[in-house]
Amino acid sequence: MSAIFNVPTVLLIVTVLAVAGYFLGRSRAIAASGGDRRSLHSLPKQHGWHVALATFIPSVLLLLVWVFLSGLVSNIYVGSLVSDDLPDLRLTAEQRETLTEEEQAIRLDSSRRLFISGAQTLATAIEGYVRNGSATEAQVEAWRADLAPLRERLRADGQVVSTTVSQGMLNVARDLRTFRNRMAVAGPLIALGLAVGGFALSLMAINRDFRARISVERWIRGFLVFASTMAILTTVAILASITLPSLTFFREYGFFNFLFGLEWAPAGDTVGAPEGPNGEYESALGFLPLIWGTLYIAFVALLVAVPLGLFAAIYLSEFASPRVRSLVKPALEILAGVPTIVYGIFALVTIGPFLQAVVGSTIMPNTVSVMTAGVVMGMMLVPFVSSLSDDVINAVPQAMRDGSLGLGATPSETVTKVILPAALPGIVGAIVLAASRAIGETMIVVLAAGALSNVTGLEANPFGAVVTVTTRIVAVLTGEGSGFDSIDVLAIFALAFTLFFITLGLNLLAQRIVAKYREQYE
Amino acid sequence: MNDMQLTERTVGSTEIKISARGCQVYYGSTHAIKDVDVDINDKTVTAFIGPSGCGKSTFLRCLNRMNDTIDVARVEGDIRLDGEDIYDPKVDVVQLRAKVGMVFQKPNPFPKSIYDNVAYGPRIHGLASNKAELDGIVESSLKRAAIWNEVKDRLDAPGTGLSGGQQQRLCIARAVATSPEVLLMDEPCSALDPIATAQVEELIDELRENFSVVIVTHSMQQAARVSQKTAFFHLGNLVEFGDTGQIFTNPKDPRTESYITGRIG
Ligand SMILES: Nc1ncnc2c1ncn2[C@@H]1O[C@H](COP(=O)(O)OP(=O)(O)OP(=O)(O)O)[C@@H](O)[C@H]1O
Ligand SMILES: [Mg+2]
Repeated sequence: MSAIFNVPTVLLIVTVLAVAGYFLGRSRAIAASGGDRRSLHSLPKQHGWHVALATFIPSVLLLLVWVFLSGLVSNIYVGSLVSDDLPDLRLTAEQRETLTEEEQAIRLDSSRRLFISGAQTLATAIEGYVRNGSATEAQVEAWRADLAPLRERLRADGQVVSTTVSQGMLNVARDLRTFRNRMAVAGPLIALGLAVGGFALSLMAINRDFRARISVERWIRGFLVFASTMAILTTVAILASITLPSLTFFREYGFFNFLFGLEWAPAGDTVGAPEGPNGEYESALGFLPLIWGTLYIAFVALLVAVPLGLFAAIYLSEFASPRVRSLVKPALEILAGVPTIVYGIFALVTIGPFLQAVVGSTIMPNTVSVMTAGVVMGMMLVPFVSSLSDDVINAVPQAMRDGSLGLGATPSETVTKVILPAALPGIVGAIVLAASRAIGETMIVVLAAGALSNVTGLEANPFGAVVTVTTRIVAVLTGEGSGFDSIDVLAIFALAFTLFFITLGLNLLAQRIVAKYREQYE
Repeated sequence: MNDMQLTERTVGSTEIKISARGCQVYYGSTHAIKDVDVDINDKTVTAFIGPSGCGKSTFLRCLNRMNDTIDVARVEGDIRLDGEDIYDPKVDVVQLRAKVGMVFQKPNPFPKSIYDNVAYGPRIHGLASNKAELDGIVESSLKRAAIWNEVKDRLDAPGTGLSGGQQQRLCIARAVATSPEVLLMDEPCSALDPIATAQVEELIDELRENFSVVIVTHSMQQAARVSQKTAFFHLGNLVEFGDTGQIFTNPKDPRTESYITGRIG
């Protein structure tokens, strides 16, 4: 039963039904016309489309929404399952005596969180275990005692189980699993019903006067609106997924400790259980050394990319003959299409050793450094800056050039005195966008900036290795060990969150500058 | 033709400033100017008239090589300024354009202040040795273009913020400021009211004392009022070229007559 009503199968059925609906609708419309096609309000084709869309769109939309929301709904469900007086959550008598009320609340809250995430992982693990055919439903129902062997059994089967398993957690996980499975079947079932209903109703609605053309237009418009909403919703979803853990982190670690901390040294503390002597976290999770590395590299990159990119754009749009332009522009575009990992390799094996040979290993102890990453990232950004600048320079009307040349100005006087000032806001916008890309860039810095896991203070030497925001995110999330109950992992969300706002701010700034520039010639 | 008051001024000079022989212009495969011979006299106003699209602007742009900026345009023939072939590869285009100034058909002020617009030419050619001198050039140019009174209190305002007619006069001031030997004016009064038009015409008359002026116009009255020589273009051909008085009172070609009496256009 549940094997049939999964999302892919239902999607397939709905698609087949929609295609069938198109042909059926068309032939029904032809039949309804009684041979005289002009008596129809809409073309038979449009009747066909109407049936197809009425079958397809509502049911697929429902499926999409269902898939998105079922995670959320089951989160809420599991929250309602876990009451505060669960034995697992109860504070010890000693804790109740020594801790203030506020501390007790924090403890309780974070152990509740831990318990829930443990139950969720366990539910997933059990589901995977059953799917693998390692146990039957009845066996799962019978699981009671011997919890430690259970954990080992699940692990041996290749399932992920992070925390210790208690009887209470197992109960919650079992309930959750049942709930999830019901959700997984109900969604596709309703979607199928919608499809069949839409199919039948729209087929029956076909007659001479039915305005299929208008309905089809409406379906299409609705779908377009939905598509554009999805793009926005995705951004919201991304933000939401990193906001909650970030906020937890800020509350646990302290927002200002994070933002102005000068040291980054994760020590693997568990969330809610600081291991330091005075009840503070042993992990030092300061933002400053990381953003310093990021900005330092971005600065070097812009120092390389902006002059080169801008001059390339000026040359191409103002001086190059059409032949040269037709050769160089595609070449630059190819450069823009090179995957950043390739640039990273280039930095690591070519530029790094080269720089080290030039400046000597006293100044540059490693081949990875600010300069290595910055220079190569600058090269990566050259086509980006040049193509954006090229656009804004080309947007300066030809009449401006004519006016200047007509007064006896040379081409370079025309560029410096008329074209660049006119294009300046747009160029600034391009630079800000490039900066935002440089800040978010990952692959090059992972390979070429340095991979220290602990840093203190701000590295001033441009030939020294630094740690950037993105390298830390990659290192922690792809690394072994710490699960999501570690404060270090939560800190990563805070990093992503802060990075998101920095680049968002830069992009907004660039957009405003560019928009202002557009007004000039309107 | 009674409404046309022909000015009975004698041609200031018979010395030839620009001579064009066998001039052809192609835009890609379109043949826009067909074998045109014209002599522009020094200290004279020459008017180019003709129906829209006949090639007046195109020919005007040949005289200071502005057609170079159009990729598809190709100019053939012999055009000489003071006896020197301006299409010779050795010629410095920048110098040529400093000598042969131009006011474009569409006003194109730079997105700079009014002052900087007018000071642009003098600055790049180093015509003023100090600020006061530059101020003087800017003021006199704006006055000659009949726009001084309107902008004297806001010289720092952007030139692009002026009205269409004001922009047209600003561009005239900008061109005049470099003191060219020849001034090419492409419909300089198309957006002007009668008063400003009269002032610009006065300027043209005044310029004639030292320079030669070529003006493209769609107004027969204006051609008759300001010019001493008139050239009538039609479909890329130079149909008739002669003294303005003769063209307007006694045209030799029937096409000229039909045009000036309003029958073709
Ligand atoms: N940049 C260009 N590219 C291609 N063809 C052009 C270009 N400029 C002008 N032409 C063509 O050359 C011919 C002459 O145009 P031109 O602008 O010289 O006419 P005009 O006499 O100045 O007309 P108007 O009085 O409307 O300004 C027209 O047929 C026009 O289509
Ligand atoms: Mg024209």
